[in-house]
Amino acid sequence: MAENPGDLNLPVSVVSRIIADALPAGTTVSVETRKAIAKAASVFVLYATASAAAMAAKRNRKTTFASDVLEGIVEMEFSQFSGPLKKSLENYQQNVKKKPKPAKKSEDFDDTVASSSTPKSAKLKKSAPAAAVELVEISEESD
Amino acid sequence: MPNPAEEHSEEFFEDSEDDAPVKLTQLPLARIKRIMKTALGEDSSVKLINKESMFVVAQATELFIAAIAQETAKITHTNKKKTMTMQHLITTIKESENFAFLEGTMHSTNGRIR
Repeated sequence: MAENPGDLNLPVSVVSRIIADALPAGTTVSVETRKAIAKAASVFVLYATASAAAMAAKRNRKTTFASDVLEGIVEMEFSQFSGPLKKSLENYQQNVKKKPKPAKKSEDFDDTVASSSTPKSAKLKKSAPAAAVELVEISEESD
Repeated sequence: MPNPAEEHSEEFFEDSEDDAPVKLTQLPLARIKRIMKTALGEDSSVKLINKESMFVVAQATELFIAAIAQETAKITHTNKKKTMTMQHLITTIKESENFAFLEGTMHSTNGRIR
């Protein structure tokens, strides 16, 4: 399972587990299909991010917040996810509050895309589902 | 509205002192983060992603995986097969509005394309 820095795939092992948990016991899923679903999940992340970024941009913000993601999910017509996502988020927020705050100098937000070096294989394109779809055609058949 | 200035720990499922460790996501957040940054692109006016949004995307992706698996399982069942195949997945993408954004991303290796 070689992982290179440009790897935009999600680990098939984890995806397989999520699939297995979602289906009744005894259902088999071919390896090829599991890999394909993992790839689809990467595309979903791209799409969800583009959608969330659009929400943030609408409000002239440079940062995407959880609320943008939630709004974006509804825009993508996955509104059935909203309820569970809100609950998870609350759970996460409470969990984070419990933790002692470590003394670290790293910032709250991720590096700016502009300043960080581009991964070798990824082409950066404007956000749009169609464009986002192309991005995943990069690395194939990697676990 | 969460305060963006709040520090969030990197370890989402490690709890040093208090209760038993609580695992909040299965998908690796570092990978999710990498994909999200790729999605933003160089010319995007939006350049930063806060940690909460990474988490919500990870959670949503897990829900997505479960959803597409369940939708596809229906087709497997309809076809009276025991194993879910690429063909079933491709059919789901073609027939379901929700998953239409995936059209063109899948190819079956048994020669048939979509």
